[in-house]
Amino acid sequence: MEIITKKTKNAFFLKGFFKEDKIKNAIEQNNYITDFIDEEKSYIYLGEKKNYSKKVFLDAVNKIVTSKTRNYDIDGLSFLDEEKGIKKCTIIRTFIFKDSFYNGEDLYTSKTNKEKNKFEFKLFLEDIKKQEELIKESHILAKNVNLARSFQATPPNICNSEWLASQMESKLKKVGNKISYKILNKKEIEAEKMGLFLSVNRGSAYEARLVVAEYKGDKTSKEKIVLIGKGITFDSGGYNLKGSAFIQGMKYDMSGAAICFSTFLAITELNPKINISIVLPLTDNRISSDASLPDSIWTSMNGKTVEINNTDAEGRLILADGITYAIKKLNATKLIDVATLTGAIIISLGKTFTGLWSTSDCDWNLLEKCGIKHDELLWRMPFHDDFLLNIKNSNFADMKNTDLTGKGGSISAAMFLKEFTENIPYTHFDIAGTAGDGDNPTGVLVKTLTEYLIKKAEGNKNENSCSIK
Amino acid sequence: MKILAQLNKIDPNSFYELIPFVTTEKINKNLSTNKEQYNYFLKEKKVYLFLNENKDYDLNCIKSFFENVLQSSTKNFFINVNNLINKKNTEKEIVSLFVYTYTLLRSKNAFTLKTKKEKIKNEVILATNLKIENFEEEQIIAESISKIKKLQDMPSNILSTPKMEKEIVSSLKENKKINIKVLSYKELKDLGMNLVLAVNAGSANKAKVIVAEYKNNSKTKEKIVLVGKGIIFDSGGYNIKTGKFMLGMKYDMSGAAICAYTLDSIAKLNLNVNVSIVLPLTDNLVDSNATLPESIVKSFSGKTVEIGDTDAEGRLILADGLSYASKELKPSLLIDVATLTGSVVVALGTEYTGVWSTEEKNWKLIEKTAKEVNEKVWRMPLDDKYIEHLSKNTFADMLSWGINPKGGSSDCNMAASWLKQFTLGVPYLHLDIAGTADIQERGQAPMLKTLINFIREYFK
Repeated sequence: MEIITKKTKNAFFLKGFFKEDKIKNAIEQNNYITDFIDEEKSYIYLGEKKNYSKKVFLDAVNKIVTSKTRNYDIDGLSFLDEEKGIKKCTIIRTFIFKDSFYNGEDLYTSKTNKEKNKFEFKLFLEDIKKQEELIKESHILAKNVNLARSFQATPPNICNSEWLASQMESKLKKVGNKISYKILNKKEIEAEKMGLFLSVNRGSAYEARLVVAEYKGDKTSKEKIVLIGKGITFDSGGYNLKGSAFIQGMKYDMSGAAICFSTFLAITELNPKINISIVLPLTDNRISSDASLPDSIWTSMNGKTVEINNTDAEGRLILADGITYAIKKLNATKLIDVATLTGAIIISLGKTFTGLWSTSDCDWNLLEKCGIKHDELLWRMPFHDDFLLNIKNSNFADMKNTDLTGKGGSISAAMFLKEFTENIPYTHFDIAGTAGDGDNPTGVLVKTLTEYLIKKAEGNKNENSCSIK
Repeated sequence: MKILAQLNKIDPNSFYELIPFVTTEKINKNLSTNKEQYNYFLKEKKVYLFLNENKDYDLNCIKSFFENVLQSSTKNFFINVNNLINKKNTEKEIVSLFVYTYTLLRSKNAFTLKTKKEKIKNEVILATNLKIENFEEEQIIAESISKIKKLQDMPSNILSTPKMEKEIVSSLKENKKINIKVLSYKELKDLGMNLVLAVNAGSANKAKVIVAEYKNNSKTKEKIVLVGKGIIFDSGGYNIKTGKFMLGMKYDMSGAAICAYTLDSIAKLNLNVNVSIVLPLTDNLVDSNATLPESIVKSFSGKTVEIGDTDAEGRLILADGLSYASKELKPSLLIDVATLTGSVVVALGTEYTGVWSTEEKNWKLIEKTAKEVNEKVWRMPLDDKYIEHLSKNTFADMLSWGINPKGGSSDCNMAASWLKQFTLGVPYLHLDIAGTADIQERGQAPMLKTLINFIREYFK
């Protein structure tokens, strides 16, 4: 969304108004846009001033950017209410993000009649001198959210592990020498003995890939946050094949990798003073005559043996090896993973909250704040050893990959992963409920994680209480 | 009814003219073609709303337009009917459509127990020079639609079996030409309507069967009897419905309500026809006396029936209803209306009512008369192959319901062919409205208009 300081010619001027404003003849029905054709003016009703809130504001913005009626120049300051937390910066950020979300043109599509979005929305503000930095940053974030969403939306007959790795490589190449990266092929992954990751890839027609990239914004520090993203380009379930209704939407099972990648690219554009790396294991989970069978036992990169009692709990397998890679090869001092991991999280939290597990209260507090700022809600879930009981009861191996009791399924998955973190501070996000909204991919957490990493970088500088350790 | 008015009688100070338009260029370049966005011209008190791309729109397009306006009107509007007439649609058709759409969406009698009353909606008036007296039939039918819809929407703790009986009897009583008889529980027992009683066994309220007759054509011996399924609430009985499948089961009396008000409308319209109704009323609940699966019951027709599934109860009460109608009322045509099977929803969705007919000419007539009143019907097959496996029963003459061991059980077709056995050879039309009776938690009063039109044509 373009921010303008002069009105354009071919658009109606759209103002938000309250009951108290008494705009004659404008419809007083929440979120209703009244278009006065002869005056080329429009008004959207925001209710009574005393009931105005962030929610009312967000609903109004959604209504405006999804209205398929005409071009609007939006009077930004008509939505202002500093007391209710709707500041000039909130207005700029929200309009940029929402417009990009619904009208961004860089989303994947295979429609043969590409109908160009016919209507344009522009945000009118008289003075934006102080907000230029914010506008730039918001556009960077919005662009990278849509990059993640475009990867998410790409169907599995195009987006396989090899394709996705090469797409990512070409984007990394463009960043230049402020980063280093490598893409490990199957042979190199075998050389690293990432046995769990490779077990998932056995049924695939495509080679597994491990995308590794490092940004060193603070060369004086040894601290390093590593983001590990689940990159299952399609999850059929493997030999524990998903029943017909449950196999739909499984192209989104690479959302974690896409989100970590897009967060990383946003960071390289914003240049904070902090060290960030990503580790993205990419493969699909399919069936072949040589695919991993239930009851198989595989050895992970860190030496632990795992008995497979459910081939459809594959995300934790590739993430476990990803975590070990981050520790052993990249010397991570903080681990964060993002994964569409369990169906159980949707039963726990619905599609409203992302489930978050963290070993650090400090990180949880900061992440929660960043999430609220960007309207990406987080809810903390517990780590607890009880949930290891049915993971650690294998007669033949160190662990099983699934607690089949179905009780606290998201927690036992998190506990499985924690077993591989070697006591390094760890935060785990289960986005199975929030990665997609119906058929619409969300790119959830790109904004929250970027904000968090920038806050972390500022924390380093200021030595405030919530330091990287 | 103040939903129709002559143009010069509409107060220009309190009404905006709502103008549907088909092309943008002619009027104003700024008009939006978003069907939900009103375009306001304040000085002229005119509001434009997009109707369709080209001017050859049909009645369904106008129906969507009315539905949208009636649900989202932002000011008091009047619509000049002349702006809607085209070569496909006459003024009379459009006015009737408006009356019916208005009734379904804005009926004053609509059932509600909301304690916070909804705000009064803006008025919407159709401006026409046709006299309101010309629409007496539409008004009568509209009133019936709103009554059926109200009964449908009432939950079973409010609309119990005795309440339903009372509502219907008190409506029909107003017309002297209708003879009413309500068969009591004891009479049902004495008559041997044991299938009705079997379904009623688990209920706290006694079953009733309403029988009403309207004879207004002595020149012919032709008579149509309508049998309506009146299951006040269907829990499934011992074969209980699980989880979400029990929701919406208050609508299982829709067939009875529709038949009752078809007769009511016909009497009010004073049509020269002979029509009767037979409405078995009961709920299908569970208690320690309720009928168990595998019970064997002797029907009114004398045939013995083993209950294969207590949740296939509609066909039981209809079977006795149909046999009673055939034997006692001597019809030339039997029609039943029932929310009978989930399988018809899988087959036809919520758009079409499934119709089974023994005679080609009756199918042709209902197809034609439904089309004339803008309702959709689709013919389905009657074939004894569907019930072959039900007839080979070890202990009784037949099973009421069972999975075909050869595979390919189709419940809606099985039910239709099964019911045909109880018609005693009388020509038969079966209407399964399980898909069309209620949509999105709202009663729709389907087939009322079609049945009235059909019956009128049948006697011509």
